[in-house]
Amino acid sequence: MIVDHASLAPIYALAGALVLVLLADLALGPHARRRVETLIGIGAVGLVTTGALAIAVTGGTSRRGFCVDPETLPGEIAVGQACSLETNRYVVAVIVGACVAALLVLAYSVRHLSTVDDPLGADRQQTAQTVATGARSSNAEELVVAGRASAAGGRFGDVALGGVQEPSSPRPLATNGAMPGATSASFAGEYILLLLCSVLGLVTLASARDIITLIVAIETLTLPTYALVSLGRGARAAQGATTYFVVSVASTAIALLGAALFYVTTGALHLEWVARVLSVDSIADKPLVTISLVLLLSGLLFKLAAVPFHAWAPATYDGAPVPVTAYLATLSKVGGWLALVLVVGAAARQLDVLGPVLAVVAIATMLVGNLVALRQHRLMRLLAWSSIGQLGFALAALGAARSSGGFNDAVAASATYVALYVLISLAVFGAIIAVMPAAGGIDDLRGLARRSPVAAGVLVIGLAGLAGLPPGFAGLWAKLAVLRGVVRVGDGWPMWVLVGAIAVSVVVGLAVYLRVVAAVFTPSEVGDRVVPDRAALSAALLATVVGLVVGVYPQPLFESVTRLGCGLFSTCS
Amino acid sequence: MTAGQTLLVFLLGGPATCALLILVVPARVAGRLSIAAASAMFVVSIALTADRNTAGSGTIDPWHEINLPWIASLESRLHLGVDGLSWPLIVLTSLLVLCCTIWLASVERVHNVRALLALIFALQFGMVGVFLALDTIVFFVFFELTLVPMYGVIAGWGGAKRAAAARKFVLYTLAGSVLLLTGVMWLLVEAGTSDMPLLAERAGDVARSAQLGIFAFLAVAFAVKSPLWPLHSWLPDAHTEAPTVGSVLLAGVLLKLGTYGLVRVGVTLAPQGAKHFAPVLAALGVVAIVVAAFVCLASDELKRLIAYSSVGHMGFVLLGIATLNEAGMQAAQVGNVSHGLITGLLFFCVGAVKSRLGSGQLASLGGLRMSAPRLAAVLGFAAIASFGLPGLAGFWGEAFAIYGAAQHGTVWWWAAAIVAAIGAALVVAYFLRMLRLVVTRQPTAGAVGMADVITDLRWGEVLVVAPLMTAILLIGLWPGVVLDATAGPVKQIVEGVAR
Repeated sequence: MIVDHASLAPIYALAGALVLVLLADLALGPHARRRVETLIGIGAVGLVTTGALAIAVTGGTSRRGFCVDPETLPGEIAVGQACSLETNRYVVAVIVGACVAALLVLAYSVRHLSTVDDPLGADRQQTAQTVATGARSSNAEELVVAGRASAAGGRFGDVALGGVQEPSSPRPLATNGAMPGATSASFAGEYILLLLCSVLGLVTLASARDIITLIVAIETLTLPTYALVSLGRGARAAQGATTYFVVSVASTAIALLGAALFYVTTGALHLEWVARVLSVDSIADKPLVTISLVLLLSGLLFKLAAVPFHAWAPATYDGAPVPVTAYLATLSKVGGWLALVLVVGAAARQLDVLGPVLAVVAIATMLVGNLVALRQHRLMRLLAWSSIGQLGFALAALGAARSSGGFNDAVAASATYVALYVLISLAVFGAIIAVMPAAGGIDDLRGLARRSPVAAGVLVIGLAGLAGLPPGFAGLWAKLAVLRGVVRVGDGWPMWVLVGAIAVSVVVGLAVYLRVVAAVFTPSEVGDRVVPDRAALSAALLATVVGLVVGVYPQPLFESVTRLGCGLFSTCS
Repeated sequence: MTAGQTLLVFLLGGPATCALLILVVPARVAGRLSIAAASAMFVVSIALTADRNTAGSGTIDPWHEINLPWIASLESRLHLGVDGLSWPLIVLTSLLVLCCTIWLASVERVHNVRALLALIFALQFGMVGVFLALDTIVFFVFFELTLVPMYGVIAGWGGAKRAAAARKFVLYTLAGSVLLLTGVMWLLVEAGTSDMPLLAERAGDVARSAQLGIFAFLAVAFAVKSPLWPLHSWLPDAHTEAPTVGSVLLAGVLLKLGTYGLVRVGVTLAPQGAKHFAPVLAALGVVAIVVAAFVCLASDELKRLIAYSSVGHMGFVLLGIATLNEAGMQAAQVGNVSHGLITGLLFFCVGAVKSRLGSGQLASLGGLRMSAPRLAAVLGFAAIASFGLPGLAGFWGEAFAIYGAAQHGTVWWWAAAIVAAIGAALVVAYFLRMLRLVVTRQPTAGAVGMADVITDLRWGEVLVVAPLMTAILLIGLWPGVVLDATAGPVKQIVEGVAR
C-alpha cells in the first residue's frame, strides 16, 4: 500500500485547522473578547491554506494514493492497480471552489455567531437591523433562546404562520441571558468546527476513488450538518434536524446496501475496477449488479434531495440557521452531485438503465421542486423547494447521456450548471442573511428596494440568475449549458421529454422568483432603512460581481469544465 | 477600426452608458440628457448607410461588422453587424426611443422618471443588440436582455393591474425564449457553429428532418413574441396596463424582434423547415388578422383596441414572411417598419387622450373633434395610416402581403389571400368605428370628452408626433427608403429557400 502524504496535504491542513478551532475555543473560554472573530479567522485561514496547498502540491500533475496491486477478480477478470485517492487538477479545481464557497458561508455566519452575548444589546441591534415583521418573529425566537420566554411567548403566532406548530418555550428562564451554552456566540466554536469538518468531507470526496471512501467522505460531509441544523433556534430547528438525521441515515444504509451487494457480486469497489468489471458482459448483465447500482444511486440522490428522496429538505432548511441553510443548499449538494457523478461515471456502461432512472428523477425533481416552490410562503421553504428544482436541471443533463463519451459531455454541462448555481445561490442567501438574520416569510422582504438598495440589488440579480435571466447572465449560461448538453448527448423522444420538462420548469421557476422580486419592490408601511450585516453583504456582493464577470465572459468556465468528466474518472486521452 | 465599426460601438455602447449615467445625474438634467443621447443615437443609426460595404456575396452581407472572439467552447463569437434587413429596424428603434424620451421629458409626468429612462435605454441596448447580432447565441442573449427592462417598465409604471400583466408578459416570453434557446442549441449541435453568415452558407448541409424540428422550435418562439394567434394572449393585458412609452416600445419594436428573428434566424438558417411550415404560418397569420379584427370591432377600451390591432397587423407581416417570395417578404419588411411607426403614433395619441380624460372607455369618450381638433386630426391620421390608405406607410405591407400570397397560385394560398383581404376590410371598419366613437360622435350625457374642458395638442406632443407622421408619410410616398435596403437580403433569403 502506497500512501502519498503530499497529496493528502489539503486534507491534513483542513483537519489541522479543525483541531486548532477546537483548542482555541477551549483556550479562549466563553467570555473572551473577540472570541467569535478569532475562531472565524482561524477557520478562514484553514480554508485558504487548504485551497493553496491543493494547488501547490499537485502543481497540475496527477497524484494517487492508497493504491492496491493488480489482481484477478471473480470471473477471471484481471484488473490493474487501483487507488482510493486521486488528486489531479480537476480535483484541485473542485477543492478550491469548495474552500472559496465555504469562506463565503463563514462570512455569512459572522453575525449569526456574534449577536447574542449581550441579549439586551443584541435586542437593540436586531431591531435596527431586521426588516419589517421579520424583526418581530426573529426577535421572538432570539429571545426564547436567551431564556426570556415570558416576553416572547405571545408572539409565537407570528412565527407559526408558516404552518409549523411552535410549542411554547420549553427552556428554563435564565437570570439575564448570560446562561453559558444557550446563545449562538457560545456555540461559535462548535459551529465553525462542524462546518470545517463538513467541508473536510467534501474535500475528501473530490479525490475519493473507491465506493467505500466515497461513502465515508459523504458521511463526513453530512454528519456535522445534523448538529449544525440543530444549532438553530426553537422547535423548528429540532424538527428539521431530526427529519434530516433520520432520512439521511436511512439513505446511507441504502447506499451501503447497494455497495455491499455490488461488492458481493463483482468483488470490485475501486471505481476503476467497477468500470473494468462492468465492461464484461456476463457481469454487467447480472440483475443483481443493476439492482445494487440503483440502490447505491438512490442513497446518493437522498443527499441531493432529488425527488422522490426530497421530503427532508424543506423542513430542514426552514429550521436551520440561515447560513447553515445556505451551506446545505449549495456545498452539501455539490457533495451529493460529485458522488453521483463519480459512481455513474464508473458505471457508465450501465447508462442504458441508470440513464433513464436519472432522467425520470430529473424530470420529477425539476417539476415538483419548482411547482411546489410556487405555493410556499416562507422564504426558506421557497428556496428549499426551488433549490430542489434547480438541482433537477443538473440531473437532466446527466440523465440524457446513454454512453460514457456522452456522459463526459453531460458532466461538463452539469458541472457548469452546478458551479454557477452554487455561485448565484450563495449570493442570494448572502443578501437574505444580510437583512434578515432568521428565517421568515416572503412578505418580510417588502420594501427592501428602498430600505437597503444594495442588498435588494444583489438579491434581485441573484434571483434573476436563478431564473436564467439577464442581468444574472451567469444563470443564463447555466441553463444554456444544460440545454446544449441535453440536445448534444441525448437522442430520440426521451431527449424531447427532457427538453419539454426543462422548458416548463424554467418558466415555473421564474414565476417562483418573481414573487420574491415583487415583494422586494412592493412599498411597505415600515419605511426605516435597514442596516445590513456588512460581512455577509460584502461577501454576497463579491459573489455577485464574480457572477456578472462570468456572465459577460463565460469562456474560461466552459473551457475548464469541458474535460472535467474525463478528468474526474482519469479517462482523458 | 473602421468608421462603420465605430458607429456600431456607439450604437450599442451609447444606450448602455446612458442607462447607467441617467441614474446618477440630477433629475432635472436627466430629461434633457436623455433627449440629447437619443438624438445622437438616431443620427448614428442614419449614418450607418454611409460608407457601407456592398462587395460581399454571401447570404448575409453586413454593411459594417465587428467580429471578436467570445465563447470558443460554444463556437460563438461576438459577431455584430448591420445589413439591409436590420438597418430599417435599427432606425425605427432609435426614432421611437427618441420620441419616448421627448414624451417623458416634456409631456407626461411620471414618478421616478430617471429609473424609467434608464430602463428605456437598457431596452434600447437589448433591442439594437438583437438587430445587430450575427451570431445565434449573441442574438439569444440580447433577446433575453429586452425581457427584464420591459417587465420593469410595466410592473413599475403600469396601470392598476400592472403586476399581473407584467407577470403574464414575462412568463409567456420566457417560455418562448426557452424554445428559442433549444432551437439555437440544436442548430449549434447540428451545424457546429453559431455564426449566422456561416450557418446561412451551411444551411443546405443540415439534414432536412433536423431543419424541420429547428424551425418548429424557432417559429413557436418567435410566434410568442410577434405575437401570432393563438399565442398572443399576453399582449392585450401587457399593453392595457403598460405606461404609454412602454406600449410604444412594446408594440413598436419588441414585436418586431419576433418577425425579424423569424426571417433572420428561422427562414435564413433553416430554409427547408420554413418551406415545410410556410402554409401553417400563413394560415395562422390570416386567422390572426380576422380574429383581431373581430375583437377590435367589439372592443370597448381604446388602448386594448389598438393593442389587438397590432395582433392583426403582425398577422399581415407573418403572412408576408410565410409566402417566402420576394413580394411577400419585402411587404413584411416594410410592414414591420410602418407598423412600428403607426402603432407608436397611435399609442402616443391614446396616451394623450387618456391623460386628458382619465379614461379610455370608448363609451365615455366622444367629441374629440370639437374639444381638441388637432389631437383628433393626429388620431385620425394614425388610424387612416393603420388601415392602409394608399399614400401612407400602412398600405405597402398589407397590399403586397396579399399580393405575395396570391402569387403562389394554389387554392390554399388564394384562400389565404382572399381571407386576408376581407380582414383588411374589417380593419377599415373597426378603425372607422373607433374614429366615430372618439372623434366625431357628439358628446353624450355622461361622456367626459366635453368641449373646452381639455387642452389641445401641446408643444411637447407636437414634437413627439411630428417625426412619426413625417416618417409615415415618407414611407407611404416613397417605400423605396426601406425596400431598397431590404431588397438585397430578401433576394438572398428567397434564393436560399428555393435552393
